[in-house]
Amino acid sequence: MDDYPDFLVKEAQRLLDILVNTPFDEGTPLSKKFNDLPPRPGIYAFQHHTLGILYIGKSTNIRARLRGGHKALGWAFIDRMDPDDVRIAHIPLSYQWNRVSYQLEQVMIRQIKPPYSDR
Amino acid sequence: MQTADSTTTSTILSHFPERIQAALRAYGAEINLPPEAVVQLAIGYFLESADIAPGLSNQDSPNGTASPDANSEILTHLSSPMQKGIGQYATEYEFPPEFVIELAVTFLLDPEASSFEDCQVGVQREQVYLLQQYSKHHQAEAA
Repeated sequence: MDDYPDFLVKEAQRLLDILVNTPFDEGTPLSKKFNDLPPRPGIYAFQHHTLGILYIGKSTNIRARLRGGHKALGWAFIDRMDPDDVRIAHIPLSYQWNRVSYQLEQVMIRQIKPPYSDR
Repeated sequence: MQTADSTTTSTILSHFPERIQAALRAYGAEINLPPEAVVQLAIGYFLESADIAPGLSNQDSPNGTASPDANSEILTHLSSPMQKGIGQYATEYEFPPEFVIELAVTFLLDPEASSFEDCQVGVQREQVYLLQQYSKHHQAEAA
């Protein structure tokens, strides 16, 4: 992480800890409309009941991003995962952090290498 | 949907980086609409996705109807209802109103980006389809 400033790496680690430690039951279940997801900018993760984080992403509108279809859902389908074993964990981002969400996402992906983020 | 005159068009587009302007023109060419109409559709779709009335109406004048709290120049090139919708979003999520426009345009061009900075600007078929459907829906509503 040498190429990112400390404050950014620290915040990415804090966000990652939240995502990783979000109890599976507190995640948002998969659905067609994803009405329970917030329509605002943030970081989100596909969480598997036993396999952990499958994908980390960011969007200016988390709900609409998922509602429009997502490649991680396609990979999960191909991997024969049970939809009930996958949920979405999410963290809203403030204006300040949204400006650097690309960098935050990159640090988080490098840290835990989610299998579907690499494809 | 009403389209703005050429003065308004160049002004609102000129607030965006050149590569974003080029992308909006490319999308406009795909759906036979001027690029500023693409901006309005992008904002409308973004606000509607956030459960906020998008303010897409044929009766709305795009210029000179700035609401009292519209303190950003770019907002004055949008209709009053649209400014109101942007203001509502900005207040609710604590983002500067002008950045809400950037979020909306970004979301159209690249749903995985978070700002113009990391926005991929290639024309995506799914996004063209989305624009076409959204535009048709609002044309039908206005008729």
